[in-house]
Amino acid sequence: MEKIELLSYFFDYLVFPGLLFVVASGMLVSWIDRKITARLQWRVGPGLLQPYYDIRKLFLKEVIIPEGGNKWSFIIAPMCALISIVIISNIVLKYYIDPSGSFVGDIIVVIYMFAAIPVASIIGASASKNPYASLGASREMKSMLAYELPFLMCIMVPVIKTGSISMGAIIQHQLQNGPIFMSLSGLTAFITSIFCIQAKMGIVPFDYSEAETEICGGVLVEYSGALLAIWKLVKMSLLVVAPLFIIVLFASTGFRAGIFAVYFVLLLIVIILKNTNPRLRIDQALRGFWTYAAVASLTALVLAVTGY
Amino acid sequence: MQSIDNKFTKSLFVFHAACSPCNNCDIEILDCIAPKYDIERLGMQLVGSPRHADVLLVTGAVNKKVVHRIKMIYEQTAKPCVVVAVGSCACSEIIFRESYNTCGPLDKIIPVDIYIPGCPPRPEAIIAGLAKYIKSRKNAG
Amino acid sequence: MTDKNKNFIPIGPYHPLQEEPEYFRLHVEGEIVKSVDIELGYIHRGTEKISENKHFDQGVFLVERICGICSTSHPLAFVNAVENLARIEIPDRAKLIRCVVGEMERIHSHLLWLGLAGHFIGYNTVWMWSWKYREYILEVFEKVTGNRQHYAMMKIGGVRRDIANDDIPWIETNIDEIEKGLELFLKAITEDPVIHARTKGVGVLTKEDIKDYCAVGPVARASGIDMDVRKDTPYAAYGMVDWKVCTCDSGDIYGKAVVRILELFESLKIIRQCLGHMRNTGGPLDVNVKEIPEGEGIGRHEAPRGECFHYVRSDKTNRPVRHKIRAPSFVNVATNQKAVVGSHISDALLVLAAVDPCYCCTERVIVVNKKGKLMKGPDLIKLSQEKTDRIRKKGL
Repeated sequence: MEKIELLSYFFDYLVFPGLLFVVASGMLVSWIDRKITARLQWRVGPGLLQPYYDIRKLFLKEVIIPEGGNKWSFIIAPMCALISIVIISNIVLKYYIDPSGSFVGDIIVVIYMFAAIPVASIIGASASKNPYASLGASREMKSMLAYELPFLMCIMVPVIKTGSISMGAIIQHQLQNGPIFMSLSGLTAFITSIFCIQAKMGIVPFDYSEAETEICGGVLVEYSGALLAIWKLVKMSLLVVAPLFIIVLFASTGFRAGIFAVYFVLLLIVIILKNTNPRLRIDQALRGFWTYAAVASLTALVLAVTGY
Repeated sequence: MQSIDNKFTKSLFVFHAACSPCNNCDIEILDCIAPKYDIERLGMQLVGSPRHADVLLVTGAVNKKVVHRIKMIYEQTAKPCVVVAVGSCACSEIIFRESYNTCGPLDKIIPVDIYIPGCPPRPEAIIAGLAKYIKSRKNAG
Repeated sequence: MTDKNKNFIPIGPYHPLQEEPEYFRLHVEGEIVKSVDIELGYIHRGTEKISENKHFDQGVFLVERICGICSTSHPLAFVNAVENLARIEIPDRAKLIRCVVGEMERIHSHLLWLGLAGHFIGYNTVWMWSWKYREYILEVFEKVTGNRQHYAMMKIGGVRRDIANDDIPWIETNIDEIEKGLELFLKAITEDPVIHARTKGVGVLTKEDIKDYCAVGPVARASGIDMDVRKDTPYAAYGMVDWKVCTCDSGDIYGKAVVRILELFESLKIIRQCLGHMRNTGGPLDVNVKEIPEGEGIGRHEAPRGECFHYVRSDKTNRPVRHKIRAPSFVNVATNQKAVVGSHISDALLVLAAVDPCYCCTERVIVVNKKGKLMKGPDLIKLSQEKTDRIRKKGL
């Protein structure tokens, strides 16, 4: 491999749109979330650099590895989750900026990487012998069963409308023919996918796998120090890449910088949903996803196939 | 006495461990998070597991059933951590020192860094106690 | 992963759900709870024994520190017990002030419960908003009594401090602010579909269950039983004001929440009427009590959680020979054995919190004497009839 190609891979995966971008934008978005939540609750809220201070402090604490569990899966799980996010960010943002570089099937890679994150948290939680962590892991599994199917069906809608499973081709189709959510099937799929990503990011009303007041932190209960910091970074950066993914699929327009405005609106919707609802029970969420969300995404699919 | 680095002064995760309290100090601690006092703007957050915590807020007189548990929680907390005895019961047991079931004030059981007396201490007193400690760490390191 | 058939989830002793340590062992299969073991004792401080070494007037301060949230309930029940023993009649203004302080404590306690219930179901907005409205009551407490909790207002024979008539308009302004907040909360709870989904039909207790476990307070009223010490045997100024007991028929968590909020509206009504009477009632705040005679006395008060009961026996020295305390949570927590069976883990945790438990009130020690005589029901009835006869003869 030539030196310049190596350097450009280095840059892509470590700086932009790789690790540094994902971490920095994650901290910024996490601050926005905490500040708006505080204002809705009549409080003042933290300062701008607070997420950075939290992460910096966590790296200074000792890492305790619980006895009796599998040491290596405990340590590697959060790192795998972070690497998945870096890969997703790379695919989504790079091909949004330059659609010609995308390859056939890159959407499938993104879907796999999105699924790797809850699997990593299940493995990390099961690696300790804590009953709360195993409860959290079982809830995470049920949650995946709930939202993955409607999510996949929603993603099929742009694929059917544009006739290709390459993200670059979907983006180029939208640049020529207008964003997909302007059509009836696109709009239905877009709205359903907002609920699916709320569950994917583990935010109220779907945060049962990490419910602090029910199971003491669930999947994260035994983590401390640098490993906890990596999990927190994963959660923060998921708040960046998950909405970006569905915006790129459904709402790419000729005005490329418009993605910031749409992302901000989506972030506001997520935060408002978070603050105006209590937490659902896992079986209620399962039922909700397998009835309402599945029916909605099926309708969107049918509409897309028949051309609406 | 555990010494915490200067970097801890901007972000403290707090875990609330109650020994045998009458609940008043616990309610005043939760009141610190409520809108009137809001410690989140100072960088402090309440967490659900001792492994995530930097500050252990301990309330209540320690009774015989709780003694080894509070020691376990102290060992489970990721070091470095700061132990705060909130309320007069944790500092010195007040009227309960004559009881057959209590085991001495908190500093006989785990090392304590900050004492905040009061029955109950107001939220302003709790915040002032933590702020004094942070200031002393900033001046020291 | 643990075996699915013999699985238990420990709740406590230290859990973010609880402010105090107590241990519940939920036996689960999957996510359904089959039974629960309750183990208390982590907050036992030997209050009844310490009370035997204190004078009666020191006892009021001791008893206040049994619990922080129901910090006026125990002193009020205790002074009712001693006044019943010594046959003391307190002046009218003292009765009105006791009533006002008792009702303000109910407001603060129910708003606290509302906030914590919101926090446990993940609805932090309700937590922050209800605790913001709670600050109005805490400011009134600070102006009237000097402290936000542990007010030390009760005294044997009356009250320790006066509420100045000049302060009454300011108190009424604060109460109006709280009423606005209460209307908001009532609307929020009765109209939010997700709250209905999480609380309706969960942890249902029927009338028979309440009678079997002798539950008291809002837990009993939420299952349709009309039981309230303030109405049944009025004390302080509750006989002088006009109010009604709130009940609901559903018996689930939703019913308990609605009963508590409706009770708050009634409390505001009582406070307004008492403040109105206080404008026209002057007079002393206490009577001078020289000594406590020999005898027994009982005192009851409707604490925010139910009936709080104190029994005092004295033998003419200045200290009680026996001081027995029965807090309402003692009987209410036992209903959890019935209420959590068959529900999901998340619901079980809500049920444990919906009873509004105050474990520090509950900690008493029972010594089981296996060597004595075993008495059955009819024996106990005969014993109590003999005692009633003795007390009647002494009274005549």
